[in-house]
Amino acid sequence: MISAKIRRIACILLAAVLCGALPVGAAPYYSYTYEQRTGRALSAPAGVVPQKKLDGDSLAVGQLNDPSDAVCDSEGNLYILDSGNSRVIGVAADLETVQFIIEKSGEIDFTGAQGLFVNEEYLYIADTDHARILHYPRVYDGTPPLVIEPKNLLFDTAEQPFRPSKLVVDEMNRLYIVCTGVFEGLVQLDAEGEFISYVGANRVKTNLLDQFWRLIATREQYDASKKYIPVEFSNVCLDEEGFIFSTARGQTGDDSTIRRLNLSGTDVLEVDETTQMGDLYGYTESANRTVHTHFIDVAAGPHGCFAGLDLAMGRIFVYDSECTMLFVFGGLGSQLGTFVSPSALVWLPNDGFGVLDRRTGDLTIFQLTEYGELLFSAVGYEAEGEFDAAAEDYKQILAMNANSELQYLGVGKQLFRQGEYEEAMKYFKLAGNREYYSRAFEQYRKQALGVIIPSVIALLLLLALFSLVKGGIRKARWLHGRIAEIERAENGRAEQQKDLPQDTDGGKTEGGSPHGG
Amino acid sequence: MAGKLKYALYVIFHPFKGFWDIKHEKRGSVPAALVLLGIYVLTSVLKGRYSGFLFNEYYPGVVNASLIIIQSVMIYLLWCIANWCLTTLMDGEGGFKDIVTAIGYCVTPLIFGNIASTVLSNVVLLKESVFITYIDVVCILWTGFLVLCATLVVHQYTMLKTVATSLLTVVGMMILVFIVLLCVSLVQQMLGFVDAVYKEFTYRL
Repeated sequence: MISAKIRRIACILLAAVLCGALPVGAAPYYSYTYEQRTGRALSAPAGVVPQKKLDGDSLAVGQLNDPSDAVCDSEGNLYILDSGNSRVIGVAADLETVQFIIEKSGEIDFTGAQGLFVNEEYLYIADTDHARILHYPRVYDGTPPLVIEPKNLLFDTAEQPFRPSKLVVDEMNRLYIVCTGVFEGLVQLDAEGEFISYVGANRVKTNLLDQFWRLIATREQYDASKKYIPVEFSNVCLDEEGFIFSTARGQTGDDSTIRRLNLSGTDVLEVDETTQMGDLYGYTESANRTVHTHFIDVAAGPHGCFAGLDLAMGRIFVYDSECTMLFVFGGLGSQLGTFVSPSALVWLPNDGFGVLDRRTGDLTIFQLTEYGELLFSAVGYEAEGEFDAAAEDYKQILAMNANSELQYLGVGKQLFRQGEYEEAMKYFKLAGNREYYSRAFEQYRKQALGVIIPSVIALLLLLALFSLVKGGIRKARWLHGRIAEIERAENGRAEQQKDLPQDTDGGKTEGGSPHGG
Repeated sequence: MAGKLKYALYVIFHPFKGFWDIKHEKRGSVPAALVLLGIYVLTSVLKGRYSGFLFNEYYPGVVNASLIIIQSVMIYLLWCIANWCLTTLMDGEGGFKDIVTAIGYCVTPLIFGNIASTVLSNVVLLKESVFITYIDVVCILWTGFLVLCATLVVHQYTMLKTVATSLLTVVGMMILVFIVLLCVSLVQQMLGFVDAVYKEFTYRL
């Protein structure tokens, strides 16, 4: 049959093809995007790839023990809260040099601290187990910290201890603290620790059945029934405009949300009730347990973009300012790029990401791929109103990812602005967006009818004219026929008159002249 | 046959006289009714495929024609069978042929509704969706009314008895579906058992 030589060549070629087909720098996690209308997950190129890991050994500071939070400042300096060893490690923007280490000293022992926050001037540690906030200058110079203890809290600290787990600080140096066990919202303290108010309680979702029971239950029955209290926050972060992004576990288990609060606690993210963030479907681990997205950290990026860290599946979802998912990365596992127990998410200024893993004690740095860079560049152009440049980016993105509905929408919108309604309609259909398709169709219809209706009217007028003319001709012919008839009749009578004998006074008794009937 | 099909247009506007004439004056026939049903199924499939993007429930274009056909035919068949079973017990005068014929003529408004919907959905905006909804609802209600009239005339019931029979027919349809599912499940189990025994047998050889 096939000779040995040919078989050998075929094998070599096959091997070569297979080697060439292996992706370089492939990411060990799924990259996908959700189709809006049907909720199917479609594959997409990876937005980021893992680059390296920072851990205690690479930084030469000794192993990290249960690090629970990490933040970065606007220059890219990284700050890692090593809770188990009660220290904060400040890493320079090159992600290699250690700038400083804050260690425990004397009374100041913040083992078990869960939260860290850094702004231009200061560094705050939420010392969870000791009910206080430690306040350092951002560039640590060895000075002991200011200890902020809360005063005049509305809840009784004997029953409900003050356990600050995460915090952010606004420009007026007011602290917004996520306290474990407090569901009335974020605890807002002023710079000295005086309690100001609760901010931004999560909304309670009641279903129709409960509302019905509420209507007909008596006071006693209602008091004895299960209460629906808002869920606690899990984390907060500050964005460049001073809004607070907050995360909370979902109430029914499948609707963990990220909210963007203004300082009076109102959610300003423009999402409707049905938008679900994170994975649309839970992961069925076993017969009784379906795991849903549970956001435990959020990080803010440029142009209103944000990213949420999902503890359940170890994934990071990156959204733009309108809550459209840009890409997703990460997973649970042991390869570079996957985690065992992720605890914090950092958005680095060069649009890379860092994910802290408390179990393995390291921080994985992710770098944007070409696809990811294009995505953010398009978002940037849209935000600045440079729609042509954005449309160029969208076309490039679509060349890489034909599943991406967001980009079809973007190109469609640009075509709509330029007045190309038919093309815009095509793109909106690909994007699966009925709302915009309807708008483009309206304009297209106007255009088309603007041509059709005058021509139809012209046609009708022509037909009317034609029938008028035809009718006119017919009437003229009929008249002509009648006149001829009358003339013939008159001629006939005249003939008869000539034949009749003449009367002398015949004129008076003449029969009436034949009038046309 | 053409005359019997054209008679459908008369029936939908004059239900009482129409259905009487179908039964007693032989103005309708079973083949004609089945042809009307076939046209209805055809227009349903076309509606699923050619409806405009704004109103198509099957976007993105994954139209399962078999599903649509089965849906349409099964509702008709289930109603006829359940109705016949029930009316036999409740002293109805109509036989199975009469029911099949009469209900077949009842789907005519739905045919027009489907065609109008399909055409309109391609030229109408989202905010003008009222037109389509209106047409759909009117045709469904019209068909429902025709079915009621058909039951009334074919079985010679009073109006009250007709309404009661119709509701019971719906219940009957659900029972039929349940029984069919039960049978299917049973057959599955049996086949599974036979398959397992066969596999066991072949492995032991």
